[in-house]
Amino acid sequence: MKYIIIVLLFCLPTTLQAVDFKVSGYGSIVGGKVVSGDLDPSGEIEFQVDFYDYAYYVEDWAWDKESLVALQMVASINNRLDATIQLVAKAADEWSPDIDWFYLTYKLNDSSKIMAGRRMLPMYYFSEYMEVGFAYPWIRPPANLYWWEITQFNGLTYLYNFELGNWNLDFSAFMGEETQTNIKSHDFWRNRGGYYFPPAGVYISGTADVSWSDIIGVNLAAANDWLDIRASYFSTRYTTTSDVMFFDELDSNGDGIADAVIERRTNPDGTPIRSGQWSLTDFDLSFYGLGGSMYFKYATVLFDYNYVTYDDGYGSRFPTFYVSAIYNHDTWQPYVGMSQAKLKITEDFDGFGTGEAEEHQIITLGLRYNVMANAALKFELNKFKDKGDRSPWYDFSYHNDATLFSVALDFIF
Amino acid sequence: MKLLKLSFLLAGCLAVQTAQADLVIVVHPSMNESITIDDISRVYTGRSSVLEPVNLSDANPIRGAFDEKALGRTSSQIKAHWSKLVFTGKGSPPKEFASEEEVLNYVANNEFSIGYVDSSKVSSSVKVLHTVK
Repeated sequence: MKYIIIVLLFCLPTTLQAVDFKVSGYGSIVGGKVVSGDLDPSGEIEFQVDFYDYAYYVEDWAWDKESLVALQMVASINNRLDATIQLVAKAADEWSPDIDWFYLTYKLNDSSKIMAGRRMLPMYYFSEYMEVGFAYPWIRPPANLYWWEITQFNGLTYLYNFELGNWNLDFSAFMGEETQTNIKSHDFWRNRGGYYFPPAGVYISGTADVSWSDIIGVNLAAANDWLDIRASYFSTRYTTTSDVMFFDELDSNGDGIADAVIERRTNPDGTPIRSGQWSLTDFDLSFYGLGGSMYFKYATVLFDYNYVTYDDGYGSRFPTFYVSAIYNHDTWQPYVGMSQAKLKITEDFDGFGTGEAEEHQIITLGLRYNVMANAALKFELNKFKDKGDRSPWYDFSYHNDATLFSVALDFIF
Repeated sequence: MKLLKLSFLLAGCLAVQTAQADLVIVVHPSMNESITIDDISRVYTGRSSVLEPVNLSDANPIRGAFDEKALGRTSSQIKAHWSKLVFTGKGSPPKEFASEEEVLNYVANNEFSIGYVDSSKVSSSVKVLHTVK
């Protein structure tokens, strides 16, 4: 069915002469291999590159984790209305194309427009084009920052563009919602103690459904000839339901000490037990971000600082940042980068205590070689360090330390 | 490996050619506004829409010279910049022409357009705004 839609979309331009079509696209062939590191609880040396799609590399070369190709079609229905559709085929989904975006853009006047439909959620500095590898220097934006299950949303965006002296400013306001079902990434968190703190060695499989409702936010971006800076804010209601497991402790002789522990993961009919009405997360999330690019003659500096708050019982706070520097030779662009993420517990819930519960860092070293005007070859080394396992806090979500080598060919057409 | 060597060679040839180019920025003859190099840079990077910019295609060595000298960035940086705008629905890159004759023809016939050509190709149908060495 999807293929029929694609064929139709390609044939439409010839049949609908009145409509002006623009076709463009992008793609990445990415391979990676873990070169060193520590074992994680599942017994592998893993390097997570995409938390929400649950993509990670191990010690064998893999090319099907991040490779993708996307086709964008923009149909100008009239001089005010455009329809944009983006089809993305990922190696991780066996190259089966999906309609990732579909939105209508209505020009109110020369400086403002409304976009309605499915788009990327403008969260981090690179969020809106995080899959367009050609648009940034590295193989991927820092994986320990870009880890949310939700990256797109259905809703409305109002965009207002204006000039102020040397500056070009973009203001946008957006609202909407998004639900993702059967997310595998929650295996990762749960198996490493994120939600359930299962006993060591217990490995469970299951999926989660995540919903971000009542998304509402604003962005302000300003650019001049050497600086591009963007501030973003949004809030949402974050709810998660998932497959769960129980440990029933049986005390047969009534001495107050459990004699047996029975583990239950399925209902009597064999289906997984879902958390159902009892959400694993059900609180407000707020996101604050400030990021940008600075262009110098031979170098570019990119940075992003973000602060996420949960309105949960623990007062969870996630301060994260990254900074990266790129040297711009004609065809060669070597780069370095550092990203860091933390989880801070700021409210004492039932004597749970406060403190830093998670901290990790990725150091990146890489080289982009611009093979052609529209294609770049990249080589990258990433060193992941889990720094959250110091006393008195045990690691909330343990990640093994690992070093990853990856190569990519990013292109646009 | 052969392909890699070939692309090195091609890149080398391009670099030599761009180094020799002396280009002029042209507008419609009726244009009387003063336009600075900064304005041109804004127009060609999508930060201003006061003029309609037209480009030469990647295959033309003048393109690389223009990106580097007038916009201050390499062609691949400019391409990366536009791909960000295109794939977030925030803009579309300038129209592209394969030859300088086509650029001259377009600029001569469109009042608010701006283009660039090699200084040896310029004709009286357009007005020269700047010479970029």
